[in-house]
Amino acid sequence: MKTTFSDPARFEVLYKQYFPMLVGFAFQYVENSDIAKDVVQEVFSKVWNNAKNLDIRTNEKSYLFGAVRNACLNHLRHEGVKKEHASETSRQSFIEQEAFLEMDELQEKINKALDDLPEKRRQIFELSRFENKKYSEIAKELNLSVKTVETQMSRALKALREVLGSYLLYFLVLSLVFWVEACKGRI
Amino acid sequence: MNLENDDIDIEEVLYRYFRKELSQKDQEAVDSWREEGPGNQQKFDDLRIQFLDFKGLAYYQKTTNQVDQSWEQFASANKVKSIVSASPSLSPFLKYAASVLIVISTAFAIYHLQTQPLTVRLASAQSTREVSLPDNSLILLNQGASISYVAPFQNNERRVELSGDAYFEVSKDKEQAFVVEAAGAEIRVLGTKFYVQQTNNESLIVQVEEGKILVSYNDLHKIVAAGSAVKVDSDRNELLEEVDKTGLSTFWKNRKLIFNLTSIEEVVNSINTAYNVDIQLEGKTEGCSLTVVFDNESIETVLEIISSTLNYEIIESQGRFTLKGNGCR
Repeated sequence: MKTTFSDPARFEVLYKQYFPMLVGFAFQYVENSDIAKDVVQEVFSKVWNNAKNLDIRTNEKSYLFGAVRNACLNHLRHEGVKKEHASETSRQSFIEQEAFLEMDELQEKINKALDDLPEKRRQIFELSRFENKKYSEIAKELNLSVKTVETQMSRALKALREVLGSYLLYFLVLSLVFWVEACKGRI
Repeated sequence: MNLENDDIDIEEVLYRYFRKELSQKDQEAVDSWREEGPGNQQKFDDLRIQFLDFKGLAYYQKTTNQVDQSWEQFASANKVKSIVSASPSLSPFLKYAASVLIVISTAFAIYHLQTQPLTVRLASAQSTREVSLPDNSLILLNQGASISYVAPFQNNERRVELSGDAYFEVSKDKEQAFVVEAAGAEIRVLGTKFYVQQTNNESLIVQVEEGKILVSYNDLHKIVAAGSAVKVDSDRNELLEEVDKTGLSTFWKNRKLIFNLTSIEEVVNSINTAYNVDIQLEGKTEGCSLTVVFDNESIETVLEIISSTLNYEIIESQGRFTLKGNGCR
């Protein structure tokens, strides 16, 4: 899909509409509001300066969130490298993403992975994930032992990791050129 | 906690680590486990991203529309300027159209104040809006449309970029052509009145009300005179003469539809497009045609007129209308 980011008025609408949400979203990853703001600002700058070369697979909102997520992960990677004396292993472990999943694509992947879990396991996992419930609370609610909840959680996480674990790496194969250029580019 | 123990589920421990539910001692155990090998660190990083993505996704699913003020800050850093005022936040289903509204401080003020060329943008999101340009041309922007131009005009032409639908009343100036860029096409005029309509599939229709215009697309050119319309078909790379007898392409401005022995199917299609509704036809339609002008009528009145003229029954259910008839022989 051709983007409309290069239309200044459209860009402005998107900027005004999504800036605060994107900052809140970035905060989920970087847990620092100044960094979250910087990351989002930088993503908008890149999008603005490369508007004509961008190609969106889903929609503008999903694209922007995906770009911010990617920028956050890159930030965390750099931060990790600094903290851990730039050891080779940690540098490789958070591979810097030049292409990224748009948010709707990620959502679809995750939902699909969750759909594949057995009913009970999924239920336990979602109580923990969405409602932020402690294992003891989940155990009480579902009339299970804490140990069972723990085991089910563990299996859910393991299964999800197997499905999702390296989606970042696989996705690189689909890499698009523009983001590389964006990084090398004017900013 | 010994993380090498087979009874320990590392995923589950890491999950609690990221949720900050582990004791200080257990956290340290995880940290030293990470340093034991690249495999461990890899696992840690994978799960961390996964954990963050679950948080991020939960947030993403709750996002609504809001408006922010930091545009100016951003714009000055990126050498663009705008004259746009923020709208209050609106309910999510208004989505795109709603979030920003707009303009109209005077382009003139900026035109005179600034010595540097300046990109001016005018947009209309929630309703139609009339804007004027430095040359006194008037533009009526349809909902969601926007134009931008560089002030003062450069290279001896009055060039504007349009996205969306608009009606132009271009002031006469034989020295300075007025050029509209839209959907890859160019519309060139000296002074005239015309409509530009951009449909969903990115084809462009230019309907001329007065004077003559030149429409160019790639290496195709067509002169269009008053009363005619041309359609830029980007898929087939063609410029097609269009006759819009119904007035559908100008409905958003004058709220007028003209039917002349038009079949009921076509009438309903036109009304659905014009009023953005979804009226269904049921029963027989043989021989049913309409000759009528709807001039600024509400959709209810339009339905009443059709129903009484053709003896159709109006059925309303859950906000949707169905017209049911027995044909007209």
